[in-house]
Amino acid sequence: MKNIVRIPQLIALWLVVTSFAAQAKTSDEIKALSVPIPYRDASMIEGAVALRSAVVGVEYADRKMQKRMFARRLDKDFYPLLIRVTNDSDQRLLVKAPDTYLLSQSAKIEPQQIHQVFNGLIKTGKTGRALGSIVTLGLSNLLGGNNAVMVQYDGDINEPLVQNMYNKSLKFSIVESGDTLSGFLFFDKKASKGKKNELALPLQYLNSVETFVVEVPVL
Amino acid sequence: MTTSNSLKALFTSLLLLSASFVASSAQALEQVYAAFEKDGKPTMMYRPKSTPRFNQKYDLSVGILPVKDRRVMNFYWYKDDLFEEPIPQGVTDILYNELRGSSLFKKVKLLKSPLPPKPDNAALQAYKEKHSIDMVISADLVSFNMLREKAGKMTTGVSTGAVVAAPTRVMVDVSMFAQLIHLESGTLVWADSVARRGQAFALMSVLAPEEVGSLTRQTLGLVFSDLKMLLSAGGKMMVKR
Repeated sequence: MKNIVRIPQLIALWLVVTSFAAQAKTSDEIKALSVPIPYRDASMIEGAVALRSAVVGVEYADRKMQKRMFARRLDKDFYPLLIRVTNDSDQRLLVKAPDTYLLSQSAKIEPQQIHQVFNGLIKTGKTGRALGSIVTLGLSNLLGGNNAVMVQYDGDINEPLVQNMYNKSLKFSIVESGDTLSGFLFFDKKASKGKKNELALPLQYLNSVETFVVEVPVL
Repeated sequence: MTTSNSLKALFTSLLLLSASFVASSAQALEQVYAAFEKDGKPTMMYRPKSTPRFNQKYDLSVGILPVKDRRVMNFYWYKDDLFEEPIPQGVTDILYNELRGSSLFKKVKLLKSPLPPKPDNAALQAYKEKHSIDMVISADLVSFNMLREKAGKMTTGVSTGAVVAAPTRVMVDVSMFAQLIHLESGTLVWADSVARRGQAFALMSVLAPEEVGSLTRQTLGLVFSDLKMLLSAGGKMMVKR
């Protein structure tokens, strides 16, 4: 009999704890929004390659960096890379980030679009977060809150993560002379199995229509 | 009533009361999408401003290539069909309308086929002859996205004590890279990027579809105004010999 009494108590306790955990995670994601990608010249990255006065450095974003930049681990489903491009020429340089690909075990892997990345991440924690909302909002209702509380939580849960990934992703951009561009690209997890991965990044100087590709090893 | 029964009753009532207030982010998204389905999708198209008038910069004909989609994510989360027009097609049409109205070129033509993958001089010359144009504008859509964020905290009214939800800032990011290529010489005459962020506040988290449409059109108008200004002020001068 005692066991039957404890089950609902335990479930209620679990739900309350889940709700607070969900809120805590959201606040971490909001904090991560203001954490910038640390500035480094591409030539400072081990294995950086220079071609026609453009220097490209690639590093695997380890768990520590993933947590710091996005307040969560991404390597369960993805292979996150931080790419830096320094323009050492006197011309403006166009980085054609969406045309980038990874050469892994003789396969050509294209980067994932951001909505594919966060869609996977949101699904992972959705049940726990939804249950967290149920209890938080239900309790608030019992304690005299109203629908405005619901509005406060509406869409609040994952927007910071989306915005953060959007801000920190490597985009199709111009790098001014002497400047460095940094951003993340997210590849399918299968790329992590390759021992000698190489990133191919197409670039174009804005005094010509010619595109050239820099191939950089991922160390 | 025994302790176990009272606990069960409390637990059940707690779940029942809270069930009507489920607000997962997935559902919040579905609310946004449902509004677009119900009210109808807004259009991206607008009438280009007739001012400022530009002097004819290039006494040549220009072809507008289909705008390439280079965005890192869909317009809003996993949805990209929230407008009447498919996004790259809509932006291509706006680019055509804007340049037609700007009088920066002698003639503006909308092209259907992209440039050859290896744009060497021979390929560009063949393209010029096939389409009877002197120059092409190749544009890449870098961002066309809607983002939302909470602006401030929930407040309580002084006189009524009513709880007022924090407004949500809705942002529409539009950025584009464009290059003007002279086909006969294979010269890159002009290249630049333009970016603008339009924003509005939604008191109940979600903007109505037509409000999203209006904000988007306004932002697109600013982007193309910048683009025309840069095209007019910069770039190489073409001299007849």
